[in-house]
Amino acid sequence: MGVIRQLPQSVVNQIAAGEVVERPSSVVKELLENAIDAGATRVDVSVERGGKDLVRVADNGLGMAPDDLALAFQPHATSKLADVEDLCRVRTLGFRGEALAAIAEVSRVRCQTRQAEATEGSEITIEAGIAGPIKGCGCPTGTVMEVRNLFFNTPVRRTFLKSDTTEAGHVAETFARIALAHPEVHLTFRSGGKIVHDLPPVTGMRERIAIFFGRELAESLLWVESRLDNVSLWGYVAHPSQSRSSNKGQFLFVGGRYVRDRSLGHALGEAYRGLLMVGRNPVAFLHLEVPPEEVDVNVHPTKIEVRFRDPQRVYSHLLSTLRQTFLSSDLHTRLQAAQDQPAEAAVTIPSRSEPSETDGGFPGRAGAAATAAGRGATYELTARAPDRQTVSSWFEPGRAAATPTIPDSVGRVEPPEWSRSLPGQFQFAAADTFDEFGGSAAAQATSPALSRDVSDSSSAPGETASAIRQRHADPELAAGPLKAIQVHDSYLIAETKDGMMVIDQHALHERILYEELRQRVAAGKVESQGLLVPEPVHLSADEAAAILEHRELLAELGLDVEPFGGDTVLVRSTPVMLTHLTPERLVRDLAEHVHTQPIPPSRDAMVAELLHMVACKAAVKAGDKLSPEEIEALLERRHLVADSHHCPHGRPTALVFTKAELEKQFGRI
Amino acid sequence: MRAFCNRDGLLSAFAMVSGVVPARSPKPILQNVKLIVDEEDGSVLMGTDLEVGIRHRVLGVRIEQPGAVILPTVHIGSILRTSGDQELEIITDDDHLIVRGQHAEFTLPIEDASLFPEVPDFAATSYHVIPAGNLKKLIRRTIFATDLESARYALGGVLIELTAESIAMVGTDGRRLARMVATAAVENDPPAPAGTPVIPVKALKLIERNLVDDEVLVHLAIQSGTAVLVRTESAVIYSRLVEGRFPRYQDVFPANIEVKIPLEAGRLRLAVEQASIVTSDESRGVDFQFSSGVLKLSSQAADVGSSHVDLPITYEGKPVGITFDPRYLIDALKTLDDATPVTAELIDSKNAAVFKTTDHYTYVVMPLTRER
Repeated sequence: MGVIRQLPQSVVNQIAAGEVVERPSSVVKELLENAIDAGATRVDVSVERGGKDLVRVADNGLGMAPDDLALAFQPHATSKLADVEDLCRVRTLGFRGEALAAIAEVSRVRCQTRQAEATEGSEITIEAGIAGPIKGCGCPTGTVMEVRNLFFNTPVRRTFLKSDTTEAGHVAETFARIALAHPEVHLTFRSGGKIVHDLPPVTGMRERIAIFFGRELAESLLWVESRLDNVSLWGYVAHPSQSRSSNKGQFLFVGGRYVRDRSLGHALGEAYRGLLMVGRNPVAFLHLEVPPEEVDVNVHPTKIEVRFRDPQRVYSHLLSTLRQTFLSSDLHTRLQAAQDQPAEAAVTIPSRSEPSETDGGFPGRAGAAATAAGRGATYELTARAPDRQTVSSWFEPGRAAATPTIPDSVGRVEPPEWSRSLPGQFQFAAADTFDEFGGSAAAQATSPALSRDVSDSSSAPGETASAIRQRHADPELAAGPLKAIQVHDSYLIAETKDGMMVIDQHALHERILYEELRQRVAAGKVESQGLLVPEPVHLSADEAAAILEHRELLAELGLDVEPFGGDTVLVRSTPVMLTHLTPERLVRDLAEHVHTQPIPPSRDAMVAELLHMVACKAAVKAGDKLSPEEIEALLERRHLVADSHHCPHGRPTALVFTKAELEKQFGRI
Repeated sequence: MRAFCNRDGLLSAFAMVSGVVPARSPKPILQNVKLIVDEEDGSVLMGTDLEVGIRHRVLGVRIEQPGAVILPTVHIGSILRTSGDQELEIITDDDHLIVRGQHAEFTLPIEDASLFPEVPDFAATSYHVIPAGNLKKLIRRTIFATDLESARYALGGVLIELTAESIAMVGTDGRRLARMVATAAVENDPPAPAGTPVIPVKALKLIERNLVDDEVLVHLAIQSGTAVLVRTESAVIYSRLVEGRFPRYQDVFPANIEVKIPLEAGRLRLAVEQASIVTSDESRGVDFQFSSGVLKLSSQAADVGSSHVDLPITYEGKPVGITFDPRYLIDALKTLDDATPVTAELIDSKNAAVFKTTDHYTYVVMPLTRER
């Protein structure tokens, strides 16, 4: 007697449910996508207990006719597909006709729906796959799906669900993905009766990003857009200062569908190579529009993975677009000092012997106004208002006279009285400071105001204060003689057009050397020094395989390796520029590099890796004292470098303090 | 102890010995030198860093009371150099070391002389005998080719090979190799040393500095495979050997030579130096084009420029091209007299090139290759 039997349909559905419906967030995803496929312009999502008790998705889309309603919950029933050819050009989010059946099999579903032209709606209730009768009901145009008690008939699965908050988190993540992909749809999200998100329709993704990930990230985004043949790419990538420790910040949408793709994730990482620190992942929100024929979405039950017909092309398209964007953008790290330092300031300042009223009440940053108000409105009312007038009166002509150096100081807060009585140790040469206004008719008028300015800055703790001394350096470090100071023999502080810049001397020099080397190597041929005694290097099996696989590429770079049995390779020659490295070290480093790259490394990538090694060795180290001439030369050469923002390892070379931030720090605005 | 030392005698010994004294050491006593004055054995100044040690004879010492004393290197060095006296009196009592000149007196703290580690003396009865000039040549022509960084092989020194009639030294950094053979004699038939004795660079430099008179015979012995001792006229130098394996260098000499080109050391060196002016660290190579009657040298570096240097040679044969790192050639050519005839033995642009002189000097260089 045979032991193999055909499974009943309910079991089939439950098995399918295991693939499609993993947790409440899967239900939310399927229902939301259905709503969007139905052309809804507004969708309301609400969940109870993280979706375990209830998932309700109400849309104002097309709705269904009563006849369709029963069919909709049958397995493999769908309106989105007609024949096999359609499968190759799926334009809707869903197409398989599995989800509703699967969901209905493991929960209690109630569906109300009405088409716009119908006079009344219809309703169906299904419990564990057993459908009740279709009844008429009153409801607005569109569809309301209620999924209750998910997994109530599969206790084992239910026990695998996590806590309510965790599940609600998953639902929120799913919601965010869809909301980002479809900014034109009005979406609301309630969890446990509370409105979590209410997202009115917007034209761009940026507003939605700001809502989900914060203003700061949204403001650091760079727009990217490009089209190659029939593949178009658009969206935002974040400034390298915004990075995540995981790839959770990467949102890739293919045809409006959130997908994960290892190779495109890698392309993203490659584009940011040298811009991010090792171990950090870029943040990006990218839409890829590919003709449906070019992409197969039918490879994963929840469609989170797709296959491209020509992955290499999509990969290089993404990579080149992003590189283009970065090359034309300003990528300096903006220091988030304001968030980090108030505590320090508050600790440092009261240690000075100030009048007692300042104790514990130092305006660390934007708190100035509040503190002033708390302490009594005396100077708030008297001193401040006239001062503001003075400032704006002298400042207007100054701005016109092409010295846009301190527009931010308009409307600054009058420094507290006690700051003028501070010991004069930080009173810098005022004349120097205001050179930049020389020639301006307003020069005289500035002096009194800015003298206070300087005495105010004297309240800064330690280094920040001494950095201000460099005020008179020229804008953007570009023209004229440049003055910068070196602190701790490791960092250079220089003034920029609208703030100051702290530069890591090693990182910058390394970057410069790297770029110079790169140009030289690109221009010439790579020389290779033969070894008298070929050197065997023992590697791990996969590293040896990786190295030998790329033998020809390595030979082009002057590293001649050949198999030597087992996991040993024999090095016959090494690149001349790296003769200071032992062959063993060189091969090991490269093996590691090659091995950890998921795609075959290009010649350029390998050359880059070699040049990193050279540049790092040759650059000035932190702790090397530099003469003023050396500092000057270093900063001048900065502009020869295409990307001076980051050292080849991706650490930032410079931190920028904008003047606005400094003033915020000092409680001036 | 009490002795009157001739300042010049002490200073010349001191100059040799203080070179060995480590600037920093976990054993502070090593930062000093030790002076022994003794009527019978003569006076000896010694210093060591435990790897290398030297005992140097001190001339012109009048001994009142024999003994030993620890001299702080820095202070004694300054006293010796600045003093105008012919003779300095060195006295120790229980607490102090007193150095007294005619018009100056220095009181220094004293340390227990017996705590100073023993610097081995030349005790071997069977050893090699070689004229100082030959030994100097051996060292000079091989020491530059060493590689202190190598982790795999003991390349931080020079391999010494002893036979009954000769001493050979070999230095290599894995890219070029220098081998020099010089005639030597043996005393009491010393046994062939086990393994591959490699003398560290530091010791070689010290030995070379102590070889003043070319004609004097120097004694050299390998002590139980772990140390080398060299006795010159006025000093005994001890050094531990470099631990580790020296590559089988015999394999690097090419077996089948294609062409032999006669050259002259001095003129070749000048030409190579000229051609190497426009090379950079990333683009080092100088191309050598040997053809009938002329050697054309050319180099090119992306941001430096290019050079072409012609050198007439007495070669008649098929043209050969090869690229070298010029520094490797200059290093070796510098050790040769300008008039020395050199024969270049080549196969092609990929295989090692060999330069030979008539006085048993062989220099093997791997060429550079440029690939794209």
